[in-house]
Amino acid sequence: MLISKITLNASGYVRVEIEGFFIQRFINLCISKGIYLDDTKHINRTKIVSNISKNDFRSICKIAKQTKCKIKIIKKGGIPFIVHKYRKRKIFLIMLSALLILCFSITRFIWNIEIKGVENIKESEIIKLLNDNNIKLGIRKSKIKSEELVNEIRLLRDDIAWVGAKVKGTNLIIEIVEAEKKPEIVDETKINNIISDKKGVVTRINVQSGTARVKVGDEIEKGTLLVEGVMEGKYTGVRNVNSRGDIYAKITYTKQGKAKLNDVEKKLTGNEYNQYRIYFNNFKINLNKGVSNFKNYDTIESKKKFRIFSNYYLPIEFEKVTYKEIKKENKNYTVEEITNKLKEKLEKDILSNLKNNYENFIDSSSNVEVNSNEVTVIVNCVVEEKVGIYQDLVF
Amino acid sequence: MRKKERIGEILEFPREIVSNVPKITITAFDELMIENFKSILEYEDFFVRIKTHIGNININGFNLKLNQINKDDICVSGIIENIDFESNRNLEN
Repeated sequence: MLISKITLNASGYVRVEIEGFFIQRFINLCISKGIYLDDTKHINRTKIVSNISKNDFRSICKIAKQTKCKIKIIKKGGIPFIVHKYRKRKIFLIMLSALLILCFSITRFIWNIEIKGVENIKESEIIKLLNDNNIKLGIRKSKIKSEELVNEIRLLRDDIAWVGAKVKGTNLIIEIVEAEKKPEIVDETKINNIISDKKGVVTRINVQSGTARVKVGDEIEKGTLLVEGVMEGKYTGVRNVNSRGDIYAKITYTKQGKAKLNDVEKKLTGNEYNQYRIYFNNFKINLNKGVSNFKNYDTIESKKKFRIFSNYYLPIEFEKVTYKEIKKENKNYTVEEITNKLKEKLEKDILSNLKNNYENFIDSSSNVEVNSNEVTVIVNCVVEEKVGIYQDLVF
Repeated sequence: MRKKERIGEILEFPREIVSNVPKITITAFDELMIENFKSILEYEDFFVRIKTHIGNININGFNLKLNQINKDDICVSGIIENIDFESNRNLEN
């Protein structure tokens, strides 16, 4: 009987205490007149407490007179009484309605752009692309036409295979499927040479078509002809062909690094100072004043967008800035320590620059120079790598 | 009256709708619902006596409350100890 309780609450009810000798008669008269009594409780022989609807109170008074009962109101409840209680608080009402209107109007706009499925493409590039199409934070939802937007992105970028755009709450979700690179198609009818694009020493030659013009152990420069697109036959004579082949060469990469013998080392002391900020779109409010008292410090900023549900972002952003105190310490290194450190670092740098495109790592050597306070290390890495680019021949 | 009941029986209507016999529903031992009642004869903390068209219903218990009194429904809640009926028909015969 939840419905009857809800209607009682909605129409307003009073809890009355009924006192008299003929309580049974009172209840029976109420029943026959169709008055709804709820939660009737017996207190003693002549007294009961019951909830009745606000509108039935008049008729109850009549019945009480007939049965010679006394009526006393204990409590008033329900929505009409609450409204009556707050009727003079106009500002409260105005602010409440203003809040509701604000909430509804704010959700008409886009407050967050989410990009999904990107690995090689940078998110900032796509956001810039969207900004060029007049899609920014704070644009109205109705202005976004996802089909047009999708077509626009597809036209401008050819490294995207599929784009989907949808609006969820105040969140614009752009899903992207990146296109894989197409494999190069070798045109066998084309006549070309292979020339070197790096400086090194040839280690291995494996020619599939064409004639090799270098031998193992030859030093090659940039632009040296490696394979010529020519086939010589005993009976056929000389004819031009498409040249294909893998040629490997030892290539040396050098890198230089410097380091001081007595260096300043940074150390966290563990002291922290937090500062909080609130952003309303672009309007900034600092919650606590001042900057940290630390002499040397690192700052770490972290932003968080405020949202109601998973997709209802609001243009409110919290920012927490953490200042971490740093102590500077002087430290002296020996020459050996520092050279070893530098060597490892430089080698790593060189190999990571090659991005695993090399075939074999052969050797590495290093030169160390010590000045009064500085150590200079030069690292030479020797790597076996595939060389050669195609050079088309035009007749 | 009897004709109406016969038709109701044929059409398989619930009896409490066709005639004014009470329907008593007891949920656990703490809630008792009577449909088609006439009036309340006595109401006290430990004893409720309800009149229906075919007799009286006596309810004994503790802390008995009357919930949702309507024109034809009444719900008695509280600790119910025992219920007995006083049928009019038995007295007549």
